[in-house]
Amino acid sequence: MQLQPQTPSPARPDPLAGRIVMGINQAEQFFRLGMEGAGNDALTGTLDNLILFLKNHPGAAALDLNPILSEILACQQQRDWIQAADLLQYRLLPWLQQTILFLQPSPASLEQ
Amino acid sequence: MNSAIARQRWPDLYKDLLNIQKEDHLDISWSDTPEPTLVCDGIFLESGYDKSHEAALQARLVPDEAPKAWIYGLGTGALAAKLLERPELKELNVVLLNRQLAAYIIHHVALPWLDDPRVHLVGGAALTKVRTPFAALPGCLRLADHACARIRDMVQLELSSPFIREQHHQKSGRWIAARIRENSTFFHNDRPVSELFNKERGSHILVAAAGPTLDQTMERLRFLRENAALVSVDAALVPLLEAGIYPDYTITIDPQPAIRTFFDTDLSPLANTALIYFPSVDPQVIRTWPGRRYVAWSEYLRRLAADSDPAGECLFSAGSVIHPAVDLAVRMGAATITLFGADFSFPHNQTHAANCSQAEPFTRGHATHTLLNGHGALVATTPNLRGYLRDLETYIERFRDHPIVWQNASRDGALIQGCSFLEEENAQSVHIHPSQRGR
Repeated sequence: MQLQPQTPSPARPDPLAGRIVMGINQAEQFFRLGMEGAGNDALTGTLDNLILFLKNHPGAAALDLNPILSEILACQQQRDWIQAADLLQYRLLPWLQQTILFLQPSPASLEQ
Repeated sequence: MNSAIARQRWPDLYKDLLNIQKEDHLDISWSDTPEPTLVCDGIFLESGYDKSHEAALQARLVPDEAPKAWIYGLGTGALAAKLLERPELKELNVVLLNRQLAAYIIHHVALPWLDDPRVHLVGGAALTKVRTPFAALPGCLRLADHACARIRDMVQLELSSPFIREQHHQKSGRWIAARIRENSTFFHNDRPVSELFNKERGSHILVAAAGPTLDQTMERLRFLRENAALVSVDAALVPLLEAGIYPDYTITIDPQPAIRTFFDTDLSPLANTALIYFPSVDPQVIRTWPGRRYVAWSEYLRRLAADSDPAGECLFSAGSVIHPAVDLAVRMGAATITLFGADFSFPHNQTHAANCSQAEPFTRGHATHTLLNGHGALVATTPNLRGYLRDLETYIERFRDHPIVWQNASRDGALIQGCSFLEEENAQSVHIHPSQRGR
């Protein structure tokens, strides 16, 4: 089945931000459907993009994502897929959208 | 209310739920989330934010017009409620995967749909195949009890297989297709595996894999081998040769270059051993084989080789070389098949038989999942190995009405449904076909 992003992308997003939003939505939906491998794959790719995003935006890097990411990774470790999906959809995504995803594209991001 | 309905509608199942031995204490509580949900042993059964939205997503796995559907896992009933909103749905089977948890839910959670005549509660322990269309609750799969582990694994396989196949194809499809083209001279000139079919009719065939228990069962294998044919998977070849045992057939399928190490030994004593290879394997393995060679296909390889005239028979292949080895034994006409080293797990904290080139130190990383072994105890495994086991069990199930005796030589590896155990005391009384030549 084709998964659709449920959250609209930011109006003027960094190109990487759109991929992060889409990746979070995909991981969350795969986890809720019991498709662990696909969910883990989407999550891994999304975290890579997030790290790259923070690297491209030194100001955003000061925002501490560690607590929420630690919770998500702990759920992944425990194979608690539903709680992982909840954390992605209802905590990480809104927080990212409110705090960093509306940052202007950095030159580095545009080169990706 | 739930209890009265369940007792009346499914008396045997309800009795089973009441009588269940509480082997493990389940820690059940409600989550401290905007929409509380049940949390069992730290695992969320359903969303703690929006159950209905989550159920709508899960329900999309069942086509809108389906008259019949299955749900694997009970949860607090949100998915069942969502599916029952569909007037087209005439039958909904809800499979209970953890009886202790199900008993708790029936006694403590409102399930207003339980008296819907379309609903059937089904125990998961006796199920041997995944029914479709279905949706599943990941938390309930995670919490499945041991009795339901097999159907849980099969559901997970069903859910993950499209992704695994796609990943495999994306990562390897192109170079495997190139490898097949590289091997085309071999497979056009070598014999088709079908020439071996019915060659061992009525025989006892031993299938040697490279799991750790091959070491402990090697002497029994040596004894039985006197009157049985021996099929070795590639990884078991060196351990067998080190023990002075020469197989009649060796089978190899993996396209990875690392399989060369399975053949990194003096092969000259194997002039009478047939190699059954898939056209995806390293050409050096084919080229250096001293004996007869037979080519076998999988459906996937045949699709990849569409432009190379891939004539010949397929053998059953679902990720492990044990699969085509067992299928070969069946197609050769075995009356009895005894599996050695088919562990699908890490008994004795070992990854492989000692002399296998892929043996490596056992680490915690190997122990991500568990399986029941033949003693009823848990043994460490990985999701991949567990999937290979379930695919083998499904294959064996297909022969339930055939007069094939399936045996597992060890209890220390994974319990294989459909196999009896080759016990120490009856190892000598295993069926031996009179037409068998001494080996």
